[in-house]
Amino acid sequence: MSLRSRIAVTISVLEMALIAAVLTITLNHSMEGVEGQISSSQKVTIDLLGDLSKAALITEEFDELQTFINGTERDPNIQTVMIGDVDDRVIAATNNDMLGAVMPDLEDSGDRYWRRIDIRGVHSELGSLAIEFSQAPLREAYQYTLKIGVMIAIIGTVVIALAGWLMGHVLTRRLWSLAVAADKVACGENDIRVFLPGCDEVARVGRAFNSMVDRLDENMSALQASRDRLIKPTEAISEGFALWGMDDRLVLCNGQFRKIFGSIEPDIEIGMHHERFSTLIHERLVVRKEEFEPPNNHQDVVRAREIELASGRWISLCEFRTPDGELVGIYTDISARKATEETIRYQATHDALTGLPNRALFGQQLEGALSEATISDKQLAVAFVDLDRFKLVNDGLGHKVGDDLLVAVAKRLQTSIGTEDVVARMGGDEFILILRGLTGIEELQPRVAQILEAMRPAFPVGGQELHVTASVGVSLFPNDGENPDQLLKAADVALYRAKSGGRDRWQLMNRAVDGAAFEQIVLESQLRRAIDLGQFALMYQPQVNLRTGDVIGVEALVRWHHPEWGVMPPEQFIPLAEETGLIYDLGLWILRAACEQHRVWREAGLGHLRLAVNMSPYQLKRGNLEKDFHHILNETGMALDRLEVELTETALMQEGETTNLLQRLASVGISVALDDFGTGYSSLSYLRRFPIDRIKIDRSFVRDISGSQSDGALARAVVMLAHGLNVGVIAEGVETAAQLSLLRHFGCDEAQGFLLGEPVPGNDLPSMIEERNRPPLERVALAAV
Amino acid sequence: MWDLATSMRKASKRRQIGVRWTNIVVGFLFLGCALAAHSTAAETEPAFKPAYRLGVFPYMPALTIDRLYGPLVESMSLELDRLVRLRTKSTFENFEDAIASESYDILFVHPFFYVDAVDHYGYLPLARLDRPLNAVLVAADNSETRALGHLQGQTIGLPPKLAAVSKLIKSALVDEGLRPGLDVGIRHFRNKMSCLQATRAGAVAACGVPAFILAELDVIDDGSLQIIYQAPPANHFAFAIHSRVPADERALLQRLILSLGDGSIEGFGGKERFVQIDEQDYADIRETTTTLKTLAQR
Repeated sequence: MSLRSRIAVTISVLEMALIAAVLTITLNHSMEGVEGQISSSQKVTIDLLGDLSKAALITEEFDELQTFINGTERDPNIQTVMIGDVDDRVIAATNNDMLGAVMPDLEDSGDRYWRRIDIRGVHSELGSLAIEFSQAPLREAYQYTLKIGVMIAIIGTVVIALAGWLMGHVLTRRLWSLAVAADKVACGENDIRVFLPGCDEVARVGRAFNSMVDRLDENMSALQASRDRLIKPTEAISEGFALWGMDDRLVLCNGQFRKIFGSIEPDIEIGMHHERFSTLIHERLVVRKEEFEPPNNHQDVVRAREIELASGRWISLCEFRTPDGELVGIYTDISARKATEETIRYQATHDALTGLPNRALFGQQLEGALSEATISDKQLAVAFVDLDRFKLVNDGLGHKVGDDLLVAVAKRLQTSIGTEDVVARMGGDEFILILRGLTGIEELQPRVAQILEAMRPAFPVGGQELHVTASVGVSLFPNDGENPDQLLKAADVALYRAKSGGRDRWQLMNRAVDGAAFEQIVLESQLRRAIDLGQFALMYQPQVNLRTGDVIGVEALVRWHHPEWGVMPPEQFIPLAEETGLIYDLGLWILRAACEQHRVWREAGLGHLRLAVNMSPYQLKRGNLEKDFHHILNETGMALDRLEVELTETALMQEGETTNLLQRLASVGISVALDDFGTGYSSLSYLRRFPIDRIKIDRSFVRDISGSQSDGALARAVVMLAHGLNVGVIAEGVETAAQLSLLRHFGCDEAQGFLLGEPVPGNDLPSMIEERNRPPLERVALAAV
Repeated sequence: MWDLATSMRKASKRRQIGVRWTNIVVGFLFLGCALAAHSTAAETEPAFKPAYRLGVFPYMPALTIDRLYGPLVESMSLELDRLVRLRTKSTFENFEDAIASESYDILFVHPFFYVDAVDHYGYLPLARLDRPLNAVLVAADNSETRALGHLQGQTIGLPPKLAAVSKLIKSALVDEGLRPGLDVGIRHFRNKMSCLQATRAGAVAACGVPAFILAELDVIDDGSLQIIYQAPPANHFAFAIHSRVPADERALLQRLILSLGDGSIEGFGGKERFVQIDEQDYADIRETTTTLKTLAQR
């Protein structure tokens, strides 16, 4: 409510209260007066009538009394008059019919009431006087007075209200002009001044206002200068900087701030409210709006977050309240960083060559697909796709062509599946698919056939048309497994069987057929994939010259770091590898890895160490072993005279090609050791026919060499036999000093075992050898330290 | 066979039984009548004695009369063991009519009304004031009128026509050979003060008033008026009682009135004394009355 209205209302209310009080008092006073008059009139009437009645009763002359009573009819206060004699007979009355009758009972009614008095002479009773008075005149007088009073009150109120309004208008007119000027100043018009002549309070306020605006103008100029000084240092930083005042209005900002938010609000002006700023950001925010709220006004709270705008830009906001209540904001355009992060995240989940999801992402997608299938009560298929004889392409046409072929195959696969299906690359030439929305096995066949059909057309790669086929192993959810691991294993088994069945075909997991050998097949599959996945590692166990105590060589021992079962020793997977033929590739991997490690040692000054590598008899069956050997030895620069191949008697049983191979190896300086000697046929003819350089006494003989006389005799005989044939002897599995002492006593040349050194990673071998070669006293001293 | 003797005995016996029952019934009837008579007598016996009405000549306003005579009336009531109510009239004429109608049981009136009541109506003398009634005629002090004879052809002022003073002055005029209303004009005033004022103002030649009023008004001593005539003293107001009042009560009232004057009551009768009325006490009043009637008839 305006002041003007308040003044008018206040005066009106006060006036109404005053009039009401005066009216009440006046009305009461007036009514008391009227009542007094009426009471006096009644008393006079009663006295007069009493005296007249007394005289009339004494004289018994009632004519004059009756005449007088008749005259009371003109009195509005008197309704009825009756005078009775001493016998209570009416002798005079306003109603002539009552004359002579007995005085009636007197009852008040409405606003009428009776007054009855006895008329007595000095000596005796003369009669009685009864007068019925009416309150109507009193009521009428009250109503009349009230009506007049209310009219006066209304008129007075209206007049005073008008007067109050006019007074308010006069008083506030100049205040209004002052308010208008203040509004303009608030809007930034600092050149506004008011002219309020006079010497009253309002004029004084006007002069004070002008002085205030002058000071404000000066302060604004000083503030602008201060702001300029403040903003200069912030122009040098790469972040956007803004300072919002205690009223959340923008006080200052640097150019970087304008640059960052220029696309949102081209005209960022000093004074812009933070709420407006927040709204502008909200409107362009990708994430939910409530995630961007300014810090609380009353707490020194830091709000830092990264927001993504609809334009694709990422901005880092860090806003905090100062103790004074100001809001400081640091804003950084982090779009480039976000893009990099996105790239990294993409690379972490996608295959770099084909752009398909990789194993990790596929795992997540499969989890999601399984959840959906469970909810929708549908089936889905996991299909392993493996290109047949891809290795030939890779080896024959080069890795570049191989990679191009993989990219082309990836595209074919993407076009051959449904929009909801997923294709990922697992590594090498293996792809894996999720086929969704299956209601039964019958729907599976056409969709897998479509995939195989997609492989039929030639792939134009490297300027030539390549024809490749693929084998597909399929597992079904939930028939073949309820989780990704089970389904992948099942699909792997199915793939294995497809491959075994002749390739270019697909095979559904058949538990009836594959049930018993399932785990074996799974292991095969995993073993086959372990090389690509880098799950194999080599450990090196030192071999010691028993005469000198020096480490003269190491035996490379393979370990499989299985993701589920942990580190597996060779005896748990080598037989399977030999059975499946994987031993060939595994053997080559071992040879390559060991030779590369030897190169490292060589560079570390340990090039004299002999490197013993086990070779499976199954490797010898492959015709290209020698070629692969040479290839690896050439690549790694392995010194041939430092390489020793350990063969078992079983390998030597394959005469013919094996004999030739060993002789060729020996001709180039590669030594041959006969492993596990004594556990097989131990045919001495092998020693004569093959170029054996060293015999390894099996750990089973060494274990009981000190407790079993026969074992000790056998070991001694082997040593003597070997020496007799000019063949060196090395004992394996030496774990106790007694064993070592006996072997040394028997004349054994070399030994290996936990007593002499546990298998260690290649990188740890130099320090191990250095430790062994340190003089005993020094070792003790170091141990003491 | 029918036995005559037996039948007669039976008849005699029946008669004896009938007589006996008749006597019982008569006895009860007698007793009932006696009780009824006693009851009737008890019912007809008045619960209270009817009040007597004392009529006082309206020589003053009724309320003044009530105030003055109230104590006396109360004494009368006590004496008689009967309520006595004071009554008067607004005019002498009305009072005269009331006397004529014998509506009052007791009267206290001026001599002329007394004579009239006793002589013509059923009232009996009771007692009279023991002082004379002196009527005087006063004229203005500077008036030429010094005697009755000077009134010839003039008009005098008198109280109302039936007032005792008016009758006495008229009688005096007659004795002087002046005929009231003819030789001397008569103008009646309702009260004494207006009459005296008219005399002083010269509206009338003289004014007739009771002598005692002059002393009360002190109009003589201040020299404004002079007495030009004093009528012979006459017996004053008197009580009369109607003959219907029992003699014993008349005696009681007379004894009461005669005992007044000792100051035992307030108002009228407190200091006034009364005496028994002798038959000759109002002879001159009767004579004056006759004279005035004769004069009026002429």
